[in-house]
Amino acid sequence: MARLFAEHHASLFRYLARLTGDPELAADAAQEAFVRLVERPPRPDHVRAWLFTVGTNIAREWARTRGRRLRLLERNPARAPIGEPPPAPDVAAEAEHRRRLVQRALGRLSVRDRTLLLMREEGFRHREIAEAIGTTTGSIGTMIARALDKLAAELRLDEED
Amino acid sequence: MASLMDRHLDAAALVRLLDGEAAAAEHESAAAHLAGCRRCSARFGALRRRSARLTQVLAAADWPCPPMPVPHAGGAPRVRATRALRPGWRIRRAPAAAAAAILLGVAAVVASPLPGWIGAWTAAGWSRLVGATDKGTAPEAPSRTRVRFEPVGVELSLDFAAYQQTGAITVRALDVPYVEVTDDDGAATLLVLPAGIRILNDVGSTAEYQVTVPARIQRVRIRIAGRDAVILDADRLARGARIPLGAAESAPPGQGG
Repeated sequence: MARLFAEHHASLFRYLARLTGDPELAADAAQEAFVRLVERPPRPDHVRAWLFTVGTNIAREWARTRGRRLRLLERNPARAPIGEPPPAPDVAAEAEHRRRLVQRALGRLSVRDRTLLLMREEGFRHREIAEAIGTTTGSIGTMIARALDKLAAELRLDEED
Repeated sequence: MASLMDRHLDAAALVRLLDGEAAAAEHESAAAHLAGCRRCSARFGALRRRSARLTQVLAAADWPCPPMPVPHAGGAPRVRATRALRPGWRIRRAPAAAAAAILLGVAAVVASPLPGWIGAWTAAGWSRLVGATDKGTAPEAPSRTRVRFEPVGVELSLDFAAYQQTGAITVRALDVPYVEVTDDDGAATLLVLPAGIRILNDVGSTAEYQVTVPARIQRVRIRIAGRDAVILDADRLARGARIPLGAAESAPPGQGG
């Protein structure tokens, strides 16, 4: 377990944080995915893809729950956590600005497009991505190309070459 | 009719080539085409740069990966957990992660060379949980969640996901080897970490939490909603401290009690 954790945890957290835009939720979902790995270990050759699929499902389910909690906070502002984090220094503010831009761009993609691009970023094979999003391996190249076009336009990737 | 060599590569083929996903025949033919087609070669170069740029942009916007415990590996907590149920009461909500933590504890105990009585104790606790869940009767009574584990190190972190409507956490050091956390309404999910516990509570909760820590613990750090709320030293722990969790009554960072 220690080896699996060392190999996959950082990658899983990064993927989930990018996918959800919520690092706390990503950390909890990644942890929960490993707990479930203890409960129901998959085939040894499928561990990484299994972790990402389970982590994605957990994160999406918890994001829906959190959405309900946020709506509750909006209706009951007195119950909201008091205070805000202290003002960030310039570097942190710039990082936060970058995160907002990236998250806004990712948020404009469909969940499917976001999932496949982010899984590709983590080095998954097209076959594994296809299994995760429920499509055929042969269609992944086209889907990546289209999703990449959309995200490149949102992030102006080609302009900054 | 144009041969495969003469036909321009479509976007999907370029992606497959870049990702190393093209089959041998496709790879050979695409590579030969690229060598003689400036247009496709330029498109392939643009795709490669765009992909590399995306990797850079995403990495620059990443959050740092928080340190996380390794579930039940060496050095991780040896969890002994049970859900203490009052006779005849039914679990209204069974927090998945709390149950997972229990299973984690069972797995850890089973997988490690711990004394047999710990395994028996844990297995018995799990049996009680399952049995009580099945035969519950009264519909609305709350049930407690209790988690017990042996912490690593001399500092402990108690991390609440949110401020609550009301409620408090009471922490006291005793001459025991374990940390015990009791949630009196059983609604929160308790995640056991090597040096603490993460309590996934709800903003509308009114729960009270009782925490017992070993006397060897020198410092307990209580965080609420990602912020340090209180740090309790050994003296405070020996005397016992009650920290309100309600947003309106919680003390500012660094104080409390």
